[in-house]
Amino acid sequence: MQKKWLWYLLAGLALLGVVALYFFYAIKAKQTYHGSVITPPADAVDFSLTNQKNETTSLSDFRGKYILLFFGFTTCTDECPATMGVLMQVRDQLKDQADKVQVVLVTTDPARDTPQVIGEFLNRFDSTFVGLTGSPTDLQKVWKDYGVTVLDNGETHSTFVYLIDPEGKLRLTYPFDTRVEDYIADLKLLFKGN
Amino acid sequence: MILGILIAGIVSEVSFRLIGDRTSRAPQVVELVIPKGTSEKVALGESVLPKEQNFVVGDTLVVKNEDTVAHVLGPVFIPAGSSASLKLDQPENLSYTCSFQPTKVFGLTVREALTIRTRIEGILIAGIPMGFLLALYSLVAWPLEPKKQATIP
Repeated sequence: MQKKWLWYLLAGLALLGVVALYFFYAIKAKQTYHGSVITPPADAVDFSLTNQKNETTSLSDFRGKYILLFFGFTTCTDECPATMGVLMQVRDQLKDQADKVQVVLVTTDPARDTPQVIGEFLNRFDSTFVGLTGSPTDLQKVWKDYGVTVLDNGETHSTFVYLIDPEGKLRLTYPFDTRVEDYIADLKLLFKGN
Repeated sequence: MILGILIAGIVSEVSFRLIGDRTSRAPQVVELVIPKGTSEKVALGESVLPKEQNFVVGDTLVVKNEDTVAHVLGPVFIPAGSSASLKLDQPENLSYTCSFQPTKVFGLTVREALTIRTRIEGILIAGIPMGFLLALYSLVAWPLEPKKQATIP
């Protein structure tokens, strides 16, 4: 009889151990970022361009928020609207935490992307999105600082999304096909202070 | 059957040793360092880093940028003085655009890791059919003799 209870006890302890291990690895797995982590976080180069309201805006104006920075153009038919759509869903799904995130689009086609054109484009997605344009000279410096390749009058360009934290540090980058849930998981990890 | 598996095992092991496969390892973090001055040398057409590299599924490529300018490798942006990671989760052959090669291309070959389990499975896949064939051959080479019936004197 005593042996029987001993076996029950051992089985219970083994089950408890398995459950503990499961939760340990599940929690550990959740702490991994989906984007490409930049170590150590690098200073996001500040720049000043013109927003869709014709106002001079600097990247540093958004200190205190997580910035999702993307480079594209308004007449793009694929990656640019697709990325804006994904980022729109990211903010939608963050709900009351959406105000912690600012989406910024910097044009790769300054010849056609005037402030008004950029504003009309972004309003199709989210009125809080900020679009920036400027002179070719100013924009070329920004593209260079962020490793953005721009060819064919801006129609061929890199498609990274850069995540900059509230202190102005570049923390993560994402390729074009990153899913909404991956952005949200990473942002929530950052909100927790990881 | 045992003989078939044994022969398959010997052939597999000898082949494995001769080829010297480098994918028989667990996934790990692999570091690629971009040394200082790379961008200047690339501008002159010089190649500083290997043009391609092999990985196994599950590896994490960490690109460490010791240069004074930012670099790019495919979907990864690496600011000067920082590192950025790229997780390789799928077996595939990749040609990524990069900024640290004069050709602007860096090749990544990601293969399934050759684990002990994979090797055993391979041996069994070859060894079991070989065992059946050997068994059939043995019936031809040494046919079974019918049992002699006992005679009653």
